[in-house]
Amino acid sequence: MELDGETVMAGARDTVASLLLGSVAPDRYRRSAASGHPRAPLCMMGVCFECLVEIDGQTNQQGCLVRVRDGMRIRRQIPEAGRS
Amino acid sequence: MTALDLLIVGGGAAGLSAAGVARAMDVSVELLDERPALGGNFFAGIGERTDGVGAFGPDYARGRALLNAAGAAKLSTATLAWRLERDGRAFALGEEGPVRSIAPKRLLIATGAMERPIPIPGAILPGVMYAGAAQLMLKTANVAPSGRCVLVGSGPLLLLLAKQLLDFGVVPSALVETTPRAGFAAVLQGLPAALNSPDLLRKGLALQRAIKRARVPWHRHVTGVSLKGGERVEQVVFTDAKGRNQSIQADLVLLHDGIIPNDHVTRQLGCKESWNAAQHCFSPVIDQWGETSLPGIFAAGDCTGIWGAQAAELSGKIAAIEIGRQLGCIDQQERDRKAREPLLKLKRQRAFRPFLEARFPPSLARAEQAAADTVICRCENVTAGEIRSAVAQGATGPDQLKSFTRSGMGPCQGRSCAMALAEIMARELACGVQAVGRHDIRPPLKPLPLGKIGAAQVALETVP
Repeated sequence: MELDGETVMAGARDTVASLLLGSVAPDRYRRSAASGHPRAPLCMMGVCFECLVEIDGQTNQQGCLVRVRDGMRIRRQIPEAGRS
Repeated sequence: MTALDLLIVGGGAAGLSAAGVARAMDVSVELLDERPALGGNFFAGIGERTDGVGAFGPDYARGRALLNAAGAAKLSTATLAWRLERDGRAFALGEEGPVRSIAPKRLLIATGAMERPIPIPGAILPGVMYAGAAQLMLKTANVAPSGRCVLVGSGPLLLLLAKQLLDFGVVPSALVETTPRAGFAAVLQGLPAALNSPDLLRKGLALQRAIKRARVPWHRHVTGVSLKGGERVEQVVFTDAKGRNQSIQADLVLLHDGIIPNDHVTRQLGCKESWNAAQHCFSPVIDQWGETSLPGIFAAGDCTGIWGAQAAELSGKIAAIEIGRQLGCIDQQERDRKAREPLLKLKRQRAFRPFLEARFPPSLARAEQAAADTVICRCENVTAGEIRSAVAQGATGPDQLKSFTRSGMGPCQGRSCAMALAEIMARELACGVQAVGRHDIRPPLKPLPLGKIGAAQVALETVP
């Protein structure tokens, strides 16, 4: 799948959140829209909404609830992830 | 549209068990789960493990049988029930396709438990997760944490996670336990439990032995825990049992202070709830069959109070049996015959809990004691100080607090802060947590694209 425009490999049982936790530093997962501070997944069970990412063009998806799919396009919601 | 007998929300121990039992009585069942795979928290990943149950043991393997029995039901994963009606109707959205409206004859809510939210200084830093998160990664993706990992908090699950990490070859840098010393009351309450469930006590002692054997530095009865770091967590700072200030370097901090019912669905429905002082949480009021204050709407498993996975399986079974009777599949005599054994077993399962509740009271998640600059509402970045000043300015309840501070209005809709807000308000208003309560929960239960809801209206109007 694609992470911020670059091809990445994931395990078949990965969620988007577990893939990102293994691919990027926790302080580069996302930034809070309210505080601007870096935030990363907390609960991995659909409760905390700290794992929000853009998936296939849809923003604010709970990464911990979405299984990775072949060809999926994932974008982190941080300024440095860039937007083409 | 064919009539559906039973709709189950949640595919963990209770939901899977109910689905299997209901299908065996020829009740038609659909089960919805927002996660990509069934099993809930306890049985997470069970359907996809090809490498045996490993560190998770025979209790975990039981999930296979539940999953197999539930296989006779229609199982819809990655499907969110985002609005539920008091007549049992549900609006559901899967990964594909438009919103579906499902009108079952009976509704069973089995949404399980969630971590008790822990608003301590630094808990918002990246690199801080709940213990359950690490456990889910082990179970679902076989991913164990790397780097210096420190376990902080209290409760049997924290010790269990330490043991499971060791089994995966990960030695935690430290176990920082906030559990207070066992009081006289806890020891007294432990006596009958120990006599009735020696196997459970033995399991607990075996956990402690394994952690000691691995020489994990174990700090007990600590207080004043805070997490420090710049952009991510770097240190766990606390006061040890001898009153000395300690600091431990960490790349990952795993917090735990018990679990509470994940009850957003029953709250949105408006099921009557009560305050469970022993478990320090709210839970929906149910009768012995699991029926809530709303006729025809049932709840089972840990979303009704924390009793564990085995009790959840039993309560799911009991609810399904009564639902079978209400739908005319079995008569009352048959119901009572079928339910006798699970009801007895459930009673036995619950007998051990008072010991755990007295031994592991909330000790880290003490929001009412939070320092003014501690973030309570993670989504909207609202601090304990801001909440206290809103109360001083006249906010009398959690719903009003939202208008004052935006706390509980972010994407998580108060899941992470509702309990903490109630605890802080109760302290400030000098009343009980139950008198404060929590804010109203309204649909959609989770944010979803407006276009999906719009499309649903069209779809509903065109139903013949």
